[in-house]
Amino acid sequence: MSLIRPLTISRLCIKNHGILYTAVRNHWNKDFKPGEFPKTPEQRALAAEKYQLVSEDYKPYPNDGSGLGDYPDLPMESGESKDPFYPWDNPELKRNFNEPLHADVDMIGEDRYDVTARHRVPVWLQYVQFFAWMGGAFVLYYIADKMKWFLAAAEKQYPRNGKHYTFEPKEE
Amino acid sequence: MYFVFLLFFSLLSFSSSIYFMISDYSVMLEYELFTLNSNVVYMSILFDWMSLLFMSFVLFISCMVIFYSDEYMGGDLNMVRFILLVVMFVASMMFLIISPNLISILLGWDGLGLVSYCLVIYYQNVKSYNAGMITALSNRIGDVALLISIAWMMNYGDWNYIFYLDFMKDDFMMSIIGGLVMLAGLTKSAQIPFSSWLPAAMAAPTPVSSLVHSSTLVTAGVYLLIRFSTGLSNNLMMFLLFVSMLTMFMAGLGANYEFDLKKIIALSTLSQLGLMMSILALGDYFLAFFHLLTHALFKALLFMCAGCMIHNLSNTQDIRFMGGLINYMPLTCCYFNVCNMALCGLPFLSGFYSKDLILEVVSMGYLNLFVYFIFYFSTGLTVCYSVRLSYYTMFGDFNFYGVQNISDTGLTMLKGMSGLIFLVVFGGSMLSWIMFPTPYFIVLPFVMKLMVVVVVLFGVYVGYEFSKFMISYSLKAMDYLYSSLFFSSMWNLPVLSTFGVNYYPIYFGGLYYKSFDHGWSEYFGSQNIYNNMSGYSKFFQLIFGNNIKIYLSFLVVWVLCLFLFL
Repeated sequence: MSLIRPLTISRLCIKNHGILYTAVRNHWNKDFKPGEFPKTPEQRALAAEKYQLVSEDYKPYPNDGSGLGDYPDLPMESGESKDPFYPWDNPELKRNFNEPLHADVDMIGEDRYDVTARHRVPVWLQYVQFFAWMGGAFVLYYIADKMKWFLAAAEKQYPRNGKHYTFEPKEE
Repeated sequence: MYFVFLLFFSLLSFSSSIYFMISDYSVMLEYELFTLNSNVVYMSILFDWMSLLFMSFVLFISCMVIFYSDEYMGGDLNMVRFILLVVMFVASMMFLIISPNLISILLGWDGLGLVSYCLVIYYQNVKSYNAGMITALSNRIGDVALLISIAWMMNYGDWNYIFYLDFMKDDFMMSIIGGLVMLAGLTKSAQIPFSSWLPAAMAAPTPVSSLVHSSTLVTAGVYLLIRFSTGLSNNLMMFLLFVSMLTMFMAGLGANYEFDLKKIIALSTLSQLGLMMSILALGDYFLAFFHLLTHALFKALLFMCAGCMIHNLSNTQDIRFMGGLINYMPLTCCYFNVCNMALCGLPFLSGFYSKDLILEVVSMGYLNLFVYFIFYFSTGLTVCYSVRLSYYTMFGDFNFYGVQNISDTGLTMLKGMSGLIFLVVFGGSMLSWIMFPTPYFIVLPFVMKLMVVVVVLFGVYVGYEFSKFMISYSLKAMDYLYSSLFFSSMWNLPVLSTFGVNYYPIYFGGLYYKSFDHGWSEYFGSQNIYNNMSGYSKFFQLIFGNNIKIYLSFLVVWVLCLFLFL
């Protein structure tokens, strides 16, 4: 029995390589490091070619110390907003082969935020609507709390509260 | 096999609960795990009529659901995983029900959250993943609140809260503990502002929705608050009443705009949970427990019927594609109708006994008018969306494809459902005869007594008007688009509690990451410490080079020090 178990696990690995590749989130390494910020047009052209972009589309992040170097400032397009019917090379990421990844790709994947979603109602207005409604309900609740409604019946009498009536006939 | 075990234990605990109820008997088993000075950690188990009755209901519904899922999930490659997850869920629920101790409740509570996450992500697609995330993270807030309340309870020296509730009601620490436990209950039972996870969790398979998201997981919050209700202060009760009342209202409104079958039933569950919490906040935890039990029965069956319909219509969940199903699936639709009518509070079905009693007790109480209005309006909304749902699924025109095979021949599923139908019809009356030794004394004017009936009839009429669905019909909701969007999207809660709450923190977190983790932390931390250390070690290596000049200069320095300090 104990001999069979390792065999089963190794068969699992052979059948589904994805488990091995995706189960380990590897550390950032030197190959991921972008180059220097391009200052001359020649450097820009070289950088655009490196990132497989047309030079008109290539625009690096501003050199403000964020350390992104020559990485292109791609438009933020969320995974969910991309066309689901287009035959992507990698349908899970909705990405074609060698297409440059956005610098914040962790945030805009299909299982994360949809930053390109065009909300019917803007998010700030949704906040306003929600809190206005809750606030209005609270105001109504508070006002109505002053005007309590109850059935016109006598209050229930408990002996522990002291005085209570026994409804005996009045002694003459 | 699991079916037989669960059925046996369900019947055993039901009979025990009746015996315990009649003889007013309860058993508490305590095992001392360890002692920290005066704090004692016990592993406790409390068998009283309430816990045994709830256990029996949970076990019965789970055994029917496992039997039902034999056919519903038949042919699924991961069936073993599914059944094991359901059994683990039931085990966690048992832990929660029989615990009079906060620490052992945590075992069950965290177990429920974890297993419900695993069940929601069962179908591995992006939507299920997102739904699982929001379920797990919303429940996690409650778990954290419970953990903090465990820390606060160290002040009392013991975690068996049942001993402290009556005595410490006015204590400041108890109010904190009560507030935290209430927060935990609000998250688990999906009250405002944590409501967005319940409709999202409908990404789970239907048997899971039937067991977990209608009868057991969501009622765990209500059960915890039922146990704690004597220890909650008046301010907390007022807040709970406000929140749960609005949840009831919001869910009722939302269900009238939805077109996904499971989401309508989920919002219906949410509305009834709001009702349970409201009546608990008004002080009557007994009625809340009664409604919890009856609701579990008919809601589980409602989900199972919905599952039958979805299964037959090749996994379509949109009610606009359903219609006239009563001609093809008469028994399923019959059960569906009975459950809907029980939900609306039709006289003498199970829902009537609990719901009508709640409304009458509310009418008799000393309440503010707004609360009273919301209660009755929500009841009307319940009827409205139930009629709308029935119209769309069963009585309208047939809207599905021309060639189809819709029938009631899924015998295993039908048998699973048939186990519950008798309880749906008779359970309310039986429970009311057992649980209430003396009935509630309701004295109401005739008009007020009729109010419920009037509201129900009005709801039927409005539900029918809302759901007219013809080619030439213009949807009234389109004329009032902004308000329709607001009400249909659960008052914007799904967007606000995901995107609204997380996006800016993560964005600013990214900026902090750049400036602190990649910037100043490197300067004060790893990189600069490394540079400094390597500088010092270079300096010392110079000294260790056995240079005679350095040796002599150290000798001079040492002599100087001797003269200075001695």
